[in-house]
Amino acid sequence: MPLNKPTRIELVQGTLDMLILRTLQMGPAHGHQIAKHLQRTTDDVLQVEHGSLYPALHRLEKKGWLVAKWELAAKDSKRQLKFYRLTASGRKQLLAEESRWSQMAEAIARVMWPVPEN
Amino acid sequence: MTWWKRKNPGDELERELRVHLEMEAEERQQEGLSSTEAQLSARRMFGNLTRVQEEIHEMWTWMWLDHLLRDLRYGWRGLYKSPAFTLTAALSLALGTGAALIVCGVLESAFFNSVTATDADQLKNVEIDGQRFSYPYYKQLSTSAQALADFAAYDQTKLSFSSGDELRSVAADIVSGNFFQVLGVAPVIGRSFSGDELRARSQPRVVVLSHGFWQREFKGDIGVLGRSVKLNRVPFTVIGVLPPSYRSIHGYGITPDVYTPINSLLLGELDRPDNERLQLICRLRADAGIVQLETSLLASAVRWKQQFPTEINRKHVVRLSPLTGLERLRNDGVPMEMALFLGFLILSAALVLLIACGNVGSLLLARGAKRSREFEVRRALGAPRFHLIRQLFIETFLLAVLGSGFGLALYLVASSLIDKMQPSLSLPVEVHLHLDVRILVLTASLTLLATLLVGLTPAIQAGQRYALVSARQVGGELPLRRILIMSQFAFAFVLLVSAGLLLRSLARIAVVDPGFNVKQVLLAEPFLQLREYSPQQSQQYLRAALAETKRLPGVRSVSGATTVPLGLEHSVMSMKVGARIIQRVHTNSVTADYFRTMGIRLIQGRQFQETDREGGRPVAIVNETFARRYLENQALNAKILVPIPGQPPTFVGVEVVGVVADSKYGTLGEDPTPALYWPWTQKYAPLTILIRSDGSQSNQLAVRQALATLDGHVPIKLQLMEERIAGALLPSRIASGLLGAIGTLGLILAAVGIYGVMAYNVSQRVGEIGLRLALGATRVQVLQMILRDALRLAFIGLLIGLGLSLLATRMISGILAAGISAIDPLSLGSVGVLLSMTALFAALLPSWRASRVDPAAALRSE
Repeated sequence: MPLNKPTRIELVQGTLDMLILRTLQMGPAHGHQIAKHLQRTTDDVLQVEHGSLYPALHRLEKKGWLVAKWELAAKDSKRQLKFYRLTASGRKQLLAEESRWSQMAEAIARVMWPVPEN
Repeated sequence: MTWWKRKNPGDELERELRVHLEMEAEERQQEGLSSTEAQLSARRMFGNLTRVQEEIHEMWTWMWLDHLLRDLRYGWRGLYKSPAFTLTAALSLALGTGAALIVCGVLESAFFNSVTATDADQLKNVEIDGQRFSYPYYKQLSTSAQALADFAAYDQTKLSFSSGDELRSVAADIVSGNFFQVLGVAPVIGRSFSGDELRARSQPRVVVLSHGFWQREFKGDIGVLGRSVKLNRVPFTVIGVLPPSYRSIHGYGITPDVYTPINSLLLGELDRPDNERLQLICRLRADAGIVQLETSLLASAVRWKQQFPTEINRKHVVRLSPLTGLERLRNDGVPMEMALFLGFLILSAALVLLIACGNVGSLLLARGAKRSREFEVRRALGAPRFHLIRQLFIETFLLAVLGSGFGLALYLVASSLIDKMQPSLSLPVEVHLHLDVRILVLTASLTLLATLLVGLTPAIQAGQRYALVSARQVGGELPLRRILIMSQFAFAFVLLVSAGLLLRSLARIAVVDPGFNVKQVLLAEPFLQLREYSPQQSQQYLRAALAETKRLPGVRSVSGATTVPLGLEHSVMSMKVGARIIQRVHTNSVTADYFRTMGIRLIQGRQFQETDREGGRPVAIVNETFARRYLENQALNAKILVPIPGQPPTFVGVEVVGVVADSKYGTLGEDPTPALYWPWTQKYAPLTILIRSDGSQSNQLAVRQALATLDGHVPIKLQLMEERIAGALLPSRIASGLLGAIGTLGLILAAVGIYGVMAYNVSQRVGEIGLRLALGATRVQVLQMILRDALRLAFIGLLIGLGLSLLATRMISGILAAGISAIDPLSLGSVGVLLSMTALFAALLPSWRASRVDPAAALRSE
């Protein structure tokens, strides 16, 4: 059970948006798929409450980075799901956040593990 | 995407989340959990479902609108539940806003001359050499400058109107046929004059009625169109009625009863170039410049004067001035002091509104104290402070809407009252309060202003409260309350002192000596023109009338004058002394006894005599100002050259035989003006008969009967001189009435407000008082303490008010009557005493109540 894992980390503030955008870069997905993807790819390390995903999705939709559409889950399925898709401005946003994030990570790394000068 | 485009966004969101939970549960079930366990686990993974829903909902909807509606509903419920508070507060605001609206309405209607016209900016008053125009002159000007502007001419006069058997005089504007087209005003029913009536010299004669006249005379009957009415005994066909909101070009609320084309009245005299009686306005064409027009008019004037030279030739001056606004006031010679005074009226209305806001503020303060627990609870439950303050503002806004709604109702009531009590004056003045867009905009802005002003108090209070831990532990006074008490005293002080000073000034102006005795003088004005008498016949009639009335019992003296002072019409002309030109001399043609009847003192020389006959040596009497300014006080036997109209005009020398005291001619407020009188026997004109009597009541009837025996068909208008003066005093009467009402209103509001704040003050200190009593203070000591406290605040307020009013009165010192200083100890002192008494009484009841506090109960409540 994921709940019992002792090593779970709280998501850094503001990174959820970036993770969602990155996930959707691979193609349209519905909320549950995104949740599962995040869980799987981080080996359940990141603690993402499923519930917190949805406000984020709606926020991104409102900003125009995503568009949503109700579609059948599969051709034979009766279940309709709300699929989110990345827009052009969403892609741009992802790039911006990615570079910001890598800059920050680099900066942190330089402080934490300084390379001795010679 | 916007919320209204979504089909029930809540549903869709719920579906999205439900599907998520279902899928998660299915996955869990596949992992081997039971259906129930799987669902629970899915929910656990999800977190707080409701919060997520709310968060997303808020994202998509206009949450603030929801909150606003909720606060409005809540606020309304709160107000509805405490009707006493709501009514008091709303009525306070109603008085404040109502006063402001009425003041603005009256001023706008009576003083600021908003002439009814489309694009009034393009309309100009045309003045050349400060003189009036003859009809041919008008024609020449309008033809020569027609590419630049449209010209219209008008003149004010009186006509007799036959209503049944009775003949009455009505105020008429005789206008050029295009007058209403140039103004851009269309009658509300019927039509205005057409091109035919412009050209026609006699038939058909047509008339347009003012709305008020139509209502009064014809009870608003639509069937009046096409009906024939008799003006000066001549039938005229009614062709239209002007809209009720029509404001005449004369401004100041002057509203003529009827309008008729120039051509139908001035038949014989129309083409005479020396018959200069018309005033001109013009509407500038869109592409024409004002300088261009002035140049063109100047050229025209030069041409005209070459054609019809006058003896007094001077450089021509063309002036195009606006019909409305302050500049018009200046052009009309309304003293700037008056304009200042009017501005001050608006300021005092604003002060009253401020005091009213202070009242409501203190009421809200008291209410806020009662509601502190409610707010503590809401705050504890997590309501953001911003929400609480927003709610306070919304409640205040509701109050302000209620208040200004009532205020608007007050305005409407005042409007119908004023319509009913139109004063009967010698001037055809109508003051109407209109309900128009401007008034509605003003009301809305007053509402917002009041909301902001009043809303500040509870908001500050709320802010302060949350700065402290709890409201109930506040023992002393919050500075806000002190500020409120002091500012109310200060505002009331300023208002009352200024109002007092101005009222005293106005009272002093009202007793300004017109220079003649107004008591027990009856004016009888026979309308001879409609009898089509020859000049000889009317002279005979007037002589007989003078003789007949003199014979009546109780009559002391009788005389006649062409112009009665302080009326609508006065005659002014230019003359010469040697080579020196004297402009704007008031002239009057009077009978021998005029100065005796009017009680005007003869200073030098003699009065007119029966021997001053036509054909004899022309004589004149001048007033002191004339003698001093132009004759170096050597008036007797001096020669003055008076122009005789004609082509070309000539001058006749008149010899001064007497000097009389100055009096007022045009207005009561005017500065000493030169005046010249000539004997009626040498200069014939229609007379108004002045009858000084011993004041017996039957006099008016006797005069009417006596004149009826001469010729029953001559309409006679009788009026007491005092009534005529009353007309001249009307502007300052209106002003002082308004001011007095506003001052009183301010005092009442301030008293109520001060009481409210004092009472609240005491209610806040009940615990403290209880403690003091429990510790052995006597009730008298408590009474003294509260009273002292209240009076100290009042006193500080009065001191601030004193300082402020010294500033304020310095600003109005220019408009105070001579002899009343801006630092008037009487005004300052009496207002100080009045407000101190108010404070004492306002504090007495709450103090007494405080001294009755039951210490046990008070302490327990703590």
